[in-house]
Amino acid sequence: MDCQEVCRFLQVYLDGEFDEDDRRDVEAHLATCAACRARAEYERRFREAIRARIPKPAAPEAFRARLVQAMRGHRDRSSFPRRLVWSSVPAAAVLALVVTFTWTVTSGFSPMVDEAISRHSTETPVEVNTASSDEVEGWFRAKVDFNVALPRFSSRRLSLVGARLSHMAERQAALVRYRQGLRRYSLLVTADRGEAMEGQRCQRVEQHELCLTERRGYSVVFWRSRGLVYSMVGDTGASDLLEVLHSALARGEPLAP
Amino acid sequence: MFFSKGKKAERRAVFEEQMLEHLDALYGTALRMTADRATAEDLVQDTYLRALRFRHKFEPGTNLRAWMFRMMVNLHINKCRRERRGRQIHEGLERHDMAERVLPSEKMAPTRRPEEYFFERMMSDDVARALDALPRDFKMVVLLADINGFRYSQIAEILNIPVGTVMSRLHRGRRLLRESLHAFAIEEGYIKPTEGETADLEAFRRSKQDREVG
Ligand SMILES: [Zn+2]
Repeated sequence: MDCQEVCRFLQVYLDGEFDEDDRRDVEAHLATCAACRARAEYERRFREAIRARIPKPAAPEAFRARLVQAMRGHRDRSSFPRRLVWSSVPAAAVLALVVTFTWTVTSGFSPMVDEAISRHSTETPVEVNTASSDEVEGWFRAKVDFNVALPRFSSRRLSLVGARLSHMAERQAALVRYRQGLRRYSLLVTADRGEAMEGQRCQRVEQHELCLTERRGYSVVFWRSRGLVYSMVGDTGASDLLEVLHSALARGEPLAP
Repeated sequence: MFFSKGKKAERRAVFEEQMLEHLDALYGTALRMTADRATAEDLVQDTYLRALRFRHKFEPGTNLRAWMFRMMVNLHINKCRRERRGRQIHEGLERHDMAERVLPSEKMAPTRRPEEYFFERMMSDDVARALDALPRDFKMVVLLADINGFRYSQIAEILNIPVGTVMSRLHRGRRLLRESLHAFAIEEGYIKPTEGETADLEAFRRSKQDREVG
C-alpha cells in the first residue's frame, strides 16, 4: 500500500472495518511512514474528542416511568382488548353516551392514575365540611398556591361532602369528596405543569379532552382547564363516572367555571 | 408450538427488560435527531410500542439495539414525510447517491502539527452545535457510528442504504463536522485564523445561512 491508498482507506481502517490482511498492510505502511502515521493519529484523536464531548443524556426518570406504564398499558390492552364494558348502564344511556363520547384509544397510562386512586381510596377525614362548592373554593384560597375552581355537578347526581388538603405528583392538591348514595367520588385539583395526560381512552368533549382509565375496580378521568389539572376518581365503572361528568356538561356548564 | 399464557407473559417481560437496556442510547439519539425533548420522548415511546407490537418479527440472536434503532429511524422518516407532505426529504439524496457510491479520492490532507488538535479544547456544547448543524443524512451516520458505535453493515441496515453510501457519508460527515468545529474555534477565539481559514469560515457561514433559509 502506498500513501495515497492508505490515506484513502484510513477511516475504514480506524473504524476497525478492515479484514486481517488489509489491516496488516496498512499497519506495515504506518510503521515506515511518519506522514501517514501523523495523519492517522490526527484522525484518531479527532474521533476520540468527538466521542468524549458529545452529550449523552440519560432518559429522564419521569419519561422512563411513563414509558414503562405505556408498555404495560399496551400489554393489558392486547390481552384484554375489551376491558371497558358499558354493561352497568341501560342500553339507551349507553347509546346516548356513545353518541357524545366517541372514544379513541391512545397509548399508555399516566402514573398519576395510581396516585389518584390511592388518594381516593384512603379514608382521610375532610377538613372542611360543607355541601357548598363556593365555600370549598373559599376555604382553599389561603391554603394552596392556585385558585381552586370546582365543576358544578347536578346535585341530584352528586352531593358534595367536604374537602381537604392533599398532594398529587409531588405538588399541592385540593381533594374534594362527593357522594351519590353509597358510591364515593373524589376530585383532585392541582396546578397544571403541562405533563402528558394519558388514559386507556381519550376524547374531546366540548372544550375538554377527557382521558379515562379503569384500574382495580376504580375509574379515573383526567381533564385540564385554565391552568389546572382535574382527576376524578370513582369506585364505580367508567360509564357511571362518565354519566356524572356528563351531568355537568349537559347543564351547559364547563367542567370548571 | 404452543405456550401457556404464563410462559408467554414471562417471555414478553424478558423482552421488555432487554428493550429498556437501550433506552438511554435511543433517547440520546432521538434528542439529536429531533432537537426537542418532547418530540424525542414521543418518538422513543412510539418506537417501544411498535417494537412490542412487532416483537415476533425480531430474530433472536440478532442485534436488538440495531433492530430498535432501525425502527426509530423509520418512524422518524415517516413522521417527517407526513409533516412536510410533498417535500420529499430523501429526494436530494437519492440523486447524489450514485456519485457517493464510489469513495471520493480525497486529496491528501496535509500533515498536522500538534497545535492543530484544536478540537481537544472544544466544549461539548460546541460539538453538539456543530453536529446539529450537519445536514440530516450526514448527522445520522455520524450519530450511529461515532456516538452509538454501530458497524458499517449495521448502519446500512438501520438507514436502509448501501454500505458504500454509509462509508462516504460518514467520512464526509466527519469532515464537515471538523470544518464546523474549526469555524467555531475561530469564532470563539480558541485558534487564530490564517488567510485560508478565513475563507473557510465565510464559506461555512454562507452554507449555514443557506441551510437556515432552505
Ligand atoms: Zn504514507
